[in-house]
Amino acid sequence: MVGVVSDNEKVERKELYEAMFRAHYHAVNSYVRGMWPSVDEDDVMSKTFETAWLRFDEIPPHATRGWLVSTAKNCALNGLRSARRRQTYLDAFKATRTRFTSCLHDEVVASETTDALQLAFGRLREGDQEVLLLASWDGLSGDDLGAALGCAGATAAVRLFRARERLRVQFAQFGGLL
Amino acid sequence: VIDHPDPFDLLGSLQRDHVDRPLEVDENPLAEQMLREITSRVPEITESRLSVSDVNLRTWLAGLLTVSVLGVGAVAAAAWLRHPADATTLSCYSAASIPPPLEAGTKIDPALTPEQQCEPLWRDGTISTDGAPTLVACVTDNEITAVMPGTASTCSDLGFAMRDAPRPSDQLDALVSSKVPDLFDECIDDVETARALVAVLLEELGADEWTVRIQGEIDSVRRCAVPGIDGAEHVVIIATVPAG
Repeated sequence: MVGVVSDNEKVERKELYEAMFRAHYHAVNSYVRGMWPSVDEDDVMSKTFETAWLRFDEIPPHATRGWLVSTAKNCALNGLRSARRRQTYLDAFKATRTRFTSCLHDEVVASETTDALQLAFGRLREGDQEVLLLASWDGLSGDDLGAALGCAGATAAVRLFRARERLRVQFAQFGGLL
Repeated sequence: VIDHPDPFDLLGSLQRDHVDRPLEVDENPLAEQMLREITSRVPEITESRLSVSDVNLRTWLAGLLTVSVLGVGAVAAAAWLRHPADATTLSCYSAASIPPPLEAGTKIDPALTPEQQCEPLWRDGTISTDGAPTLVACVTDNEITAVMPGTASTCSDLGFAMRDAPRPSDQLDALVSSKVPDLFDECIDDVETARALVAVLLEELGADEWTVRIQGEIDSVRRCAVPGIDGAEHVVIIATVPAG
């Protein structure tokens, strides 16, 4: 059976989608550009929002950005044609760290501090790095963070808590001032 | 020059992109074009009507026959081969007897066969220094894997079944068994924190069959939570012990 959608519903759906698109475009774009520097950014963005259009009714309203980030991650992985997706992901993550390193310059933060942060971050495992970047750079929290990581919001919160603790420990070991 | 109180906050302060800023109309021509192209498409909702044609029915019946034939063979093999309910625990027997003169217990390493895991004990002096004889892996009455000298008939001679090939779930069970203790490198003085940490790990590993059970409380004597693995029941048991 084919679902019948009235013209009014089509207009409303389009308006809601456009509002969602505009609200999250920069966030998703920042994620794709930062996390997946070796993929075709426009292609991933296009496929991500196309998926969002086709599955608009399935997007959790309380975790829209997390859902989009998770979808962008899948699109990026699909875009990287490789027999071993996991390895591809890890390789891409190494590229992320490279970019992260190059970003760690700030005129108002002592260079020793950013050096310590860079070293501390580099000592963390990929899972910790991912959750920290999603929370601090992509602004995700709660159910959004869970949706991006593919787990419950509470689980994501525990993962973030543990990652922050490990970052603090490493940061202190490298001489960062707390 | 300022120093931030927390490295996580510092990390966030270094983000240059303004991710919460909405995309303004006509701010980015490429984004506008993308939006127009996407929303110009109407999602198609289709549902195919399934019908079983004669051809499909024949295929289905042929498949059913094949499954039936294979099934009879599987039942016969099942009496001969067995999978341990606890795929995380391994015993290396020094002889094919019950009880054996010497029994060394360890956790199963999914990267090796049970026989390969026990072989070194026959060289390093734990059981012998002469090298391993022919070994066979059996499933004991308490549903673990036991490796002992012998051949396929040795298992049945002792009333055991021979262990069947590893399953994909075995690897997951072994991972749980090896990873959970890593969470407890340092004393965890709260059982609920311990439960949450284990739950997170199980979720990360995709170990849906596994659950966590708390058995004991933290008090002035028993200050640290420790994990126990029940591989047969797929339960991580959190008990408490004195610190140190």
